[in-house]
Parts: sequence; C-alpha cells; structure tokens
Amino acid sequence: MIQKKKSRAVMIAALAVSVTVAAGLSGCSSAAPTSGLGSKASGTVQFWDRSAITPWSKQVVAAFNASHKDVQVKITSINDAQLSSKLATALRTNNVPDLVTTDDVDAISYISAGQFLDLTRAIDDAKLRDVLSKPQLALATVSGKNYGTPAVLDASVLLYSKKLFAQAGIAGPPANLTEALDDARKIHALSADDYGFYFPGACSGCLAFGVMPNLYADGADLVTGDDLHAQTATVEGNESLQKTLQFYQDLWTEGLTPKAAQSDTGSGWATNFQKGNVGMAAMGLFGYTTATPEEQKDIGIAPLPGASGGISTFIGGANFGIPKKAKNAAGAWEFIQYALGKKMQELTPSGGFAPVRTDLVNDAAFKAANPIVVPGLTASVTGRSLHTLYHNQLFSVPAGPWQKMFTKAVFGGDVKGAITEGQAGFEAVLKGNG
Amino acid sequence: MSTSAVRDMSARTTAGSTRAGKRSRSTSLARRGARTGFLLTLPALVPVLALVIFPILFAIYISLNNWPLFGDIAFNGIDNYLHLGDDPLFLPAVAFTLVYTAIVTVPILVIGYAMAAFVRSNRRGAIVFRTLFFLPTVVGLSTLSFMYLIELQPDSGAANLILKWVGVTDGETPWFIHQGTALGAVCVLVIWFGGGITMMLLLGGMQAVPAELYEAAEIDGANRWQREIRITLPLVRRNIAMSLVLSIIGSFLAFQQFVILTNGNPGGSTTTVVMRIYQKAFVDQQLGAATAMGVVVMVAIAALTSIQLFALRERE
Repeated sequence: MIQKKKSRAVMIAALAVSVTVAAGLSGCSSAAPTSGLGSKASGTVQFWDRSAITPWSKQVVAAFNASHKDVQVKITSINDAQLSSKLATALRTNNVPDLVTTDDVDAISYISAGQFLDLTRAIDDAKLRDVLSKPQLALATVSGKNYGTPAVLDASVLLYSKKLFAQAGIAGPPANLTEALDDARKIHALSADDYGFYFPGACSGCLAFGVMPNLYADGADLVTGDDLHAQTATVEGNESLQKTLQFYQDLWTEGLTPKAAQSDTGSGWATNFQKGNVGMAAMGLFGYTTATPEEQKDIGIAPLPGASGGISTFIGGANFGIPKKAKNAAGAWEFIQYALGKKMQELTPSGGFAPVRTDLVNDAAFKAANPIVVPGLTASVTGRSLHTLYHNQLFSVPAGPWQKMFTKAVFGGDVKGAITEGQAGFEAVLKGNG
Repeated sequence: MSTSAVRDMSARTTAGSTRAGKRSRSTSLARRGARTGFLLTLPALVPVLALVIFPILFAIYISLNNWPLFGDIAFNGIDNYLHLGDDPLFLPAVAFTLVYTAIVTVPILVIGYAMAAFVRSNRRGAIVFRTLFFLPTVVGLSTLSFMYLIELQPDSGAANLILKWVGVTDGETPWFIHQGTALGAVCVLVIWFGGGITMMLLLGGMQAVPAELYEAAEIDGANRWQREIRITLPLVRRNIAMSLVLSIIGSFLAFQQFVILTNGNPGGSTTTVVMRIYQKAFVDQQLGAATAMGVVVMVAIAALTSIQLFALRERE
C-alpha cells in the first residue's frame, strides 16, 4: 500500500516536472509548433539572414512586426562567410531557425542534402509562381520541386564613367565585347592615366559574377545538364568563352586595365573603378551605392553585353528557405509571402538590390523611381547563375579550374591552352576528383 | 626472559610501532595532500577537459566518418586518413607551409632578440622603442595585412612608390601574383609582426638576469659581445625555447595573412595547410576529411614541439 502511494507520488512529481520543463522550454524556444504552410500562423519566427541583404531584411521585418499581432519575426544577421558553418551546426541539432536567407547560389547545397521544406504547393497556392524571377527560382529547384523562393536580386551590370565616355566621344554603352574593346581603347587614348576597363583578376567569384554574363547572353554556359549528379563541362569548343577570354586578354596586353587588376582579390573591385579614371567595370550595384554622391553623378549603369551581342546578367542575391526542422514553418511562410509582396520588393533598391518580382520589370512607376535597378532587372529575364553542386570548387577558389583558366588566358596570354586545361579541370571537379 | 630483556623488547616494539605510526601518518597526510591538490586543480581541470580534451576526442571521432557539412553521416574508419594524399592541394599546402615556417622562424628570433637587447636597459627612450617594436602585435595581424595590401598595390601603394622613387623598381610590381614574390612579401610582414612579440618574451628573461653577473664579468675584462654570448644567451635559454615553440606553431597555423594578402593565389600555390583545411570543410563541404587533416596537423605540431622542447631543455 505504502509502495503504491510512493509510486503514485513519484508519478505525479514526474508529471509536474515534465509540465514545468515543457512550459519553460516553450517559453524560451521560438514558438508553439504550427503545422502546415498557409495555416494561421502565430508565435515567433526565428529568422537567420545573410548579412549582405540585412539592410533590406530589417525594413521588411519591422514592417511585418508592426502589421502582424499574432506572429512576430526575430531577425539575426549572420556574416555571409559564417552562415554555412552556423547553419550546418544548427541543422545537426533541433535548434534550427524557422527561416533563412542564403546566397542563392549556395541554396542548392542545403536543398540537395534534404534540409529545406518543399514549398512547391505553397508557391502555387499563394499564386507566386508567375510573378517570381524564373532563373532565380530555378536555383531553389531540384527535380521540378521548389525548396525555396527568391528573396532579393543582386544582378551584375556594366558600370561606366559618363564623363570618360563623353570625353572619348562614345555615344553609349557597348552592345557586345568588340564594341567594349573599342570603347576601352578610345578611353585609354585620352591619357595614359585613363583606363578602359577594370576587373579583379585574382578574385575567382567576382570574375564569375562579372564575366559569365558575357557567355549567358549568347546562350552559352560552362556546366550543363539538369541532373545535378551528371553534369558535363562545356568549356572546350565554347566559342563565347573563347571570345570573352580573348577580350580580357586584349584589355590586359594593350594596357587598357590598371596593373592592380592582376593581383586584386576583390578588395579593389569597386574602389579602383570609383577613382574616376576607369571607363567600365562589370560588377553589382554596390559599385554605385558605395560611391560618394559626387562619384555617383558620373556613374552610368547598363546591362552587360554578350560576347556577340544581346544582354544578360549573373543572378546573384538571396533565396529564402525553411529548414525541415523549423518549429514555426507556418509563420516563416507568412513572412516570406509578405516579403515577396510588391510593397516590400519595392524597398530592395534601398539596400542596393533589385526585386525578384517580374511584374516590377514592366512597372513604369517603379522603374521611374528606381532607375539604377532597371538595367539589371531587364537583363535578369535572360540571366543565369551557377546551378551546380560544385560551384564553390569550380568558381570560388584560386586553385579552381575557372580562376586557373582565366589567369592563363588573360595574364598568361594563352587562350587556347587555357581552355584545354579548363575543360580537364572542370571535368575533374564534376566527377568529384577536384 | 629477564625483566630487562622484556623492557628492552618492549622499548623496541614501542619504537617500531611509533615509526610505523609516523610512516602511516605521513602516508595519510601525503594522501590527503594529494587529494587536496587534486581538488584545487579541479576548477582548472574541468575547463581543460571540456574545452580541450573532449573537443579533440570528438574531432578524432568526426575524422573517422564520412561527415558532410550537410546530410547523412557514415562511419568510414580510417578512410579519411588513407586518402589524405588524394587531395590535390593538401600535400602542396603542407610543403608550402613548411617552407614558409623555415623562412620566417630564424629571422623572427634574431630580430626579436636584437630588439630585446636594444630596449632591455632603462636608458632614455627605451620605453618609446619598446612601444614602437610591440605596436604591430597590438594592431593585430589581420589589420596589418589589410594595411600592407594597400601599401603594396602597384602604382598607388607606398611601398611601390618608395621603391620607384629610389630607383629600384618601376613602381608597378604586383607583389602577390607570383608565388615567390607573394611569399617574400608575406614573410617580411610576418617577421616584422613576430619580432615584437618575441622581443617581449625574451625581454622578461633578460631583465631577470642579475646585474652582478654583468658587473663581475666586466671586472674580469669581458667585453659587451662576450657578456651577451656567455651570460645573457645561456640565461634566456628557456625564453628562447618558448619563443621558438610559439613562433613555429604560429607559422604552421598561418591563415589570415595569406587569406587577406594572396587568398591562395596564384592558382592555389600560396595555400597554407590551415587554409586547405578550411576549404576542405567549407568549400568542398567535407568535414570528416577536413578534420582528419586537422588531426594530422595537430599530431605533427605536438611532435615538433616535443622535439624542440627536448632539444632546448635545461641540462643540469
């Protein structure tokens, strides 16, 4: 009898402790779990944001929190370089954020590892499919299913000096690389201190961002294939690549580029252009937004031309993703829909980005109010990006085949040999032997 | 048995038991002392266990798995260790790091020693020089690297402009585009940086040398150089050993200066071993293989440090 009483007392005590602990835990975790995207959301959404887009994200979070009583978003800005390691650590535990923004190129790593929720149906239900940038949505798509949505667009564009163009008698931005080379020569002819074109020659990722659109505009690419595990290298025999590398080699050998370009690992990308003695550079809008107001007056913005004509861009920026273990997926999805609304997307230029809604491409009022985003936004329709599991090994490290090929072709003066080596290098990485 | 014999035996027994009692008391005291000592070290031991020993054991466990940054983990024994050589950049990175370490170690020690010898006295201005020599350490290697990067820019960097002004170069030298010049430039920066901290480590030892020894040597006719070689050098042996150990470990773990100044360029030829470990983990996204590299580096450094400390130990 005494034994029975004792065990009942133990059970009651255990229950009380469990309830207390559970209550305590729910108080300190993100929110009460809410099932199903699109259902009524409540609680707190823990949002990890890539630091590069935080100026925009903070505005959206502030507006969302002011207009939503039941669900609130708590934003944590995480340095871009640390995002993957922090997220990897979190994903191995049950302490994941409810929502993340990642570099859109990196999203595929999380998706292919099965870490993000399938948002295909939710995107359709919210009628977002037709208004979102298709090339950017493709970066969050595997086997026809969408595991994320675009957040903001960071499109590469051609920045040019209006003053130097006028002095050199150049009517407008070049339509292809042959014209770009001619323009660069005219600008350098003004004086020995004036240069035609700038590029950071030792920054692999920067070069991909600025140079790849010259190929994309021609419909060319260096890695092809929808099956991410069986992609092929299309380096050799790629006429657009050959023309593009020749263009950069000519810039270098003819002295149309400052000497600093060869060793620039990216730190001088914008500043060397902003000095006012460089005619053109391929980069993001940050080349404009980080300039002084006086410098900005002289900067013109145009879409990047293809090697043989046409326009294109590198679809950079950020994508949203909801981790599978998110405790408040419904709240996260509600926030995503809000952030993708026209009103919030119209705020993207304030952070140096462009919207991911295609309906804003043709919105005259928006374009008139934000002329700097128009060239990138226009080019984004035909833009592309690096849709491969090996984008880092291929395009982001100095020892990768992209940087080696560019260096050999441009600074080493051997386009043909560089392309042959590049094909072998790309193939090795795609086979997992890089 | 006579009474005296019994008394004698009793006395001996008492003496024996007293000795045994003393021995037992001292053993007990020693035990209690050891226990107290152990308890006193606990506050320091717990963090060491939690922050050093456990992470090392866990790292070894990670290295025995196919552990991607994202996705499923699978035990693969010593596969990661067996395939270290298959990584096209790991062994070149090890070789490059060894060359870099070999280049900078002796100059850091010699310059650090010279600076310490120069500022160890309380002569006028010594404090100013001490501060100037130690300034790079206070500023930090990352900040210095960024400053250095700007000053070594072709056309616009101060270093290039000065070299042009004195007629050595045309002022357009791109220092970081060839392995040799890039390595040379980084070594100059690191020697300047490392000299200051070595100076501080040696200064403590030098200032502890009793002035009487120098006075006696001077009376015996020893000149300044002889006093340095015969008195100072042997007496700062421990400090030199410590400086060398720290300098070699620091060089072997070189990271930020190369990331900022060369980022591995050209073509990955200035990639240090820690940079490669980082790339393996966060570019290739293979934590297991990266951790195996880390474990190998850790063992190599531990072995190297042991050898150094053994070679530089105080001989009685």
